[in-house]
Amino acid sequence: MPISTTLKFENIEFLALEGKFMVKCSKCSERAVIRLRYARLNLCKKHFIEFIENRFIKLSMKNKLFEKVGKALVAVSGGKDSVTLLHLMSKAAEYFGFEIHGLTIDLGIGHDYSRKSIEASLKNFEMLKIPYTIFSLKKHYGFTIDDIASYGREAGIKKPVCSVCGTIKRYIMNKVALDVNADVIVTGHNLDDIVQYVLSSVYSGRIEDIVRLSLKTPTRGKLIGRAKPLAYFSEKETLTYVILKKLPFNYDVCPYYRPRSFHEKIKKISNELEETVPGSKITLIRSFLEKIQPALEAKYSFSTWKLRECKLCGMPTTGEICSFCKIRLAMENIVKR
Amino acid sequence: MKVRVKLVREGKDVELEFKGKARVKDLIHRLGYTVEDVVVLKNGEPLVEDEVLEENSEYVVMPVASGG
Repeated sequence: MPISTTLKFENIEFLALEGKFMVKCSKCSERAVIRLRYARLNLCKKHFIEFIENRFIKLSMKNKLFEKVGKALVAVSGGKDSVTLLHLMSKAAEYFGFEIHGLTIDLGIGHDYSRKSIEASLKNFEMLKIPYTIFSLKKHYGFTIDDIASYGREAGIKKPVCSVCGTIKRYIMNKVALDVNADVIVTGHNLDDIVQYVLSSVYSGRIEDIVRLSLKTPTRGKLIGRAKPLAYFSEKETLTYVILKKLPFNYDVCPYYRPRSFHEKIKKISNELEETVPGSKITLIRSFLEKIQPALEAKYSFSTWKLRECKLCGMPTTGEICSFCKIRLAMENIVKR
Repeated sequence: MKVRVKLVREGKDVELEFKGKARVKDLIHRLGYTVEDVVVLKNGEPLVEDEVLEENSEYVVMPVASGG
């Protein structure tokens, strides 16, 4: 074993090993692989994984995310966030004593994107021995997201492809949750997604979007409740987690993703602030969810919109025909031609 | 001091030069990122931003945003 010494410089403890200086883990004498600025910790691989897994359980408990949950449906796209979510949910399921079921939707996105997403998801389901469903949009409804991108406009679908894709995913998640008797649908929205959502909603004054944001929503009839247990975990943490645990994940960017410069700038600014004011992203979301959102919810009551059943598929909707059936019908006419 | 940098998202390699000693965070800032935006790896292991860069070494830069 080579002799190592430690020294402190600018309040960071370094490990001097074979003439090289490395940042030391705050909990042991190993080399640190990440600095968690909000927690004022530098952590090695072992202690980082342990920290994330314990924090996930603690935050889920504090926010009562899995109270009275018998089965959770975990939505997995195969990207770093949902792969991290699946592994953390597998620990939580064991800790709290509930079942989990994985769901990956085959959206039929080209450039190998869907193929890679499904492949990564499958490997993780099998590694963790989690029962799963791979739901093919093409097999069930005859069209893909690629078809929407190519013929959607012609079919009368005016919304952008990403927004249509979101509607489709929400519908299928709810449908599969009902099929497998899940009490909650768990998604991998991370801290950065939520910071971006909150700030852009504030800038544009979309009060209903702000009121709707919550770490968990209750089940209302056939509309299964949702939970976002990664809301306090940054993208840097989820990417580091999958790298360190050598988990299979799809790093590709969806070919339909178009950076919206305003959203990108919000992200940039919030990360610049985080670098100089560590913990500012968590503080923003905590203040928002614990103070601002409840105050707004008391004043506005968007969340109690009356739900009825879609005339065509029986799924919950606010109108006569649900948004998914509208898309399905529009695409049916195109696909039939 | 020179280091080689592999930009994973962009799919290209660049060489960066620094005057005197530099740290991982200097490399991150030089590329226009903040430390929250990327994970920097050396030999497959993530690095803390305060680590000192080593002459002629190769660093891999992975943006954390998935763009979706």
